[in-house]
Amino acid sequence: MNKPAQIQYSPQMEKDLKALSKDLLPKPFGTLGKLWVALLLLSSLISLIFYIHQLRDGLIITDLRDFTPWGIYISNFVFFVAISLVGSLISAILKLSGASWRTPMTRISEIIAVAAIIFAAIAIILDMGRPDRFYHLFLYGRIQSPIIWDVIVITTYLIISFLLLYIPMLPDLAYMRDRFQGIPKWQHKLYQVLALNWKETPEQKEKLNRAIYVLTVVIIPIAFAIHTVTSWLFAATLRPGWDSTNFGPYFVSGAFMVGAAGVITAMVVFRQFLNMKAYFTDDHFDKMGRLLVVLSFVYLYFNINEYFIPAYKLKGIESEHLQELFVGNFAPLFWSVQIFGMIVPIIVLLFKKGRKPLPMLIMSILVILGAWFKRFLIVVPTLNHPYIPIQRVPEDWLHYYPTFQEWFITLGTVTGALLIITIFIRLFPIVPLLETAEEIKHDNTERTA
Amino acid sequence: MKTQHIRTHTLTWIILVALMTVGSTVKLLAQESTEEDKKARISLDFFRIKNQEQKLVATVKTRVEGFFENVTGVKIRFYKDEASEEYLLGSPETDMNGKATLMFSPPEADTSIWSTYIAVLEDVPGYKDAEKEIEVKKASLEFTTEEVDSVRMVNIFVSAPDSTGNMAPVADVNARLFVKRLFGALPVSDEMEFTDEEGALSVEFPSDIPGDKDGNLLLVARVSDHEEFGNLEFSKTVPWGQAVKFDQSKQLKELWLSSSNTYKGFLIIVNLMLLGVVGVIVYIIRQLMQIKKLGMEGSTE
Repeated sequence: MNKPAQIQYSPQMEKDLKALSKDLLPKPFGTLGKLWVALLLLSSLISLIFYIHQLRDGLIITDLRDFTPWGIYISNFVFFVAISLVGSLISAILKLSGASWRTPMTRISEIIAVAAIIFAAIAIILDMGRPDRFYHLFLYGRIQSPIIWDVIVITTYLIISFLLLYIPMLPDLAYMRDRFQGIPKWQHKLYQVLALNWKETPEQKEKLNRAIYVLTVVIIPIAFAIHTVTSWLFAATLRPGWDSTNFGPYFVSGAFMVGAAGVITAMVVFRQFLNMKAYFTDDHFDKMGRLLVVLSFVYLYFNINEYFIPAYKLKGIESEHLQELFVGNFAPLFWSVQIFGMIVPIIVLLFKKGRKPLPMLIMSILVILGAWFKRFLIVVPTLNHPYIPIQRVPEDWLHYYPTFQEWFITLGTVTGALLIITIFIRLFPIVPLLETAEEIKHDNTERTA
Repeated sequence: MKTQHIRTHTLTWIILVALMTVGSTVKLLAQESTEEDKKARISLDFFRIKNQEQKLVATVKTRVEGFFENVTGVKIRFYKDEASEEYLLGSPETDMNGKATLMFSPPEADTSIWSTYIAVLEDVPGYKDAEKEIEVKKASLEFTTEEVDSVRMVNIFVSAPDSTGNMAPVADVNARLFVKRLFGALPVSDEMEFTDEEGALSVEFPSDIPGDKDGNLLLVARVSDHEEFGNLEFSKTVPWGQAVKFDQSKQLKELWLSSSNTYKGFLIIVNLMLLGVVGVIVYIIRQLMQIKKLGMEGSTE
């Protein structure tokens, strides 16, 4: 097999890359890293065992019944779709708006997007009573159904997100192919195959930039579509709490908020454990904090819009649903989510001191937890209030309390997504190497000029 | 004076403590009495369906503050003939309407004319043991259909074992004919019609009842709450309804209706969008292949 010659960079670039590669090239995990991987593997394995149990006995091992067929599996699916939108936010929207400070976060956001969207698809399969018939969706699906729109848009978004993760990484892969020493043969082979004979020629660069630009533009409407279509799965039905024209933007704005929180959490973790303080600076946190505040305000606006008018009218069964949320069984969760998952982070992040790594980590975790439980509050209480009267059913069908098997299987999707991210950072630089070097070069040129 | 004041004070305290003690005791006693096991009332109904399947339904209620409430989630043990383990038929739980239902088929060898069924509530925390027993006689309900000169008739027959044990017609049994609809049964015959000496009751069937797309109707004959037979039911599908066919082309073109009704414009737009996205993906993959090819040109080895 022909092998391209080593890429020759300019002496300054070579020097910068050498310095950067010490920090950015993936390193073997220490004890803590190994423990972390073991924990994720163990958790995923336990979930797999419970899922095999579910495959064997059916959905009876869950608390999903006729009135609540979508429980935490579908809440989790919506959460994953939501958090995956961050890929388009950082890699596309911020790129097109010329925010160069986003460079260290691009790959984080893309790997979060890819891992999340993979597990979003898996979460749907988990909710299926007959997962062996999954392919029926493709064989017999009707294009008129929002379910099929969702299947199409998720598949498309997964492909585009994967390409947007992979294509900008080509120069880094080529660098690792040529200069990454002391790694196993298979790892070297992996870089060699994935680098696609990258030689940094002007023609290759032109094609790469064009591909990235096209993807950057295309991913924005697809990202909006993926979560809007997910919201339509609910809004296209006539149910209290879902029958809303506000659902598309409400879901999209919430998705951007939780996505930004996801990236901030990853930034703090990588900064701390991968020793990347120089790459995730206070300035980055300040900017991400401001971004999160703006996104939270937009989401707050849509929340007010979503609840205020129905609460003002209190019509029919809608009022029962809202009372259940505001003062009923779901009230503690509802108000905790609104206050701790949105109001408190907004207040804290408005202050400069709040936009430091530690407070931002705490606020981001609150936002993520709030976002997960918010999806639960969107899915479950509505299902408990159908328009058709509930008659002649066992008492326990009227409520939904996820079983421990459901919780474990759901947890497995989270640990699975974290495992993908963990494996990725073990093999690839989480901060773009060549792009960072280019930026240093660009900054130096500007300074000299 | 001061001593008397202290005494009065002490006395007041003693009275107060005594009152509190009495009050607490009364309250405790009251609590104990409310915590006593409640009395449950069981009503038991027997159903014989198509002369084969049998069903027992026990309805359990209890009186709370003067009103009857359903007792849900308690196990009811159904027995045949005698309330002992060897005669146990089954033990379902009551649903939210306080009903425990048991379907069962009688053994083929069972030739008894009278059967005793017993529903028992026992060892349920919060409730006193309760029992209900009913005795039902073997009976048969069936019907035939005929069409004479465009008049459709349903002939219902009720029979039961006579003194010799042979099945014989039973007169003066109130039977009704229904047509099964989606959420219930539509009565076709009058409420107060009884079988004649031949055990028969003929009902003229109307010709204007909508059926399914093939014009099929499910006819159901019932004898309800008979003092000897309990409840009898017999059903049969007949092609006597008016075939109902929906002309979907006249329906609004909602997106969720059949594919043939979907707006063509919608299908074209969606497919164009899909083609566009697939086109982009193909374009990107092509770019990647070209990048690889460009790298191959000028390789050293």
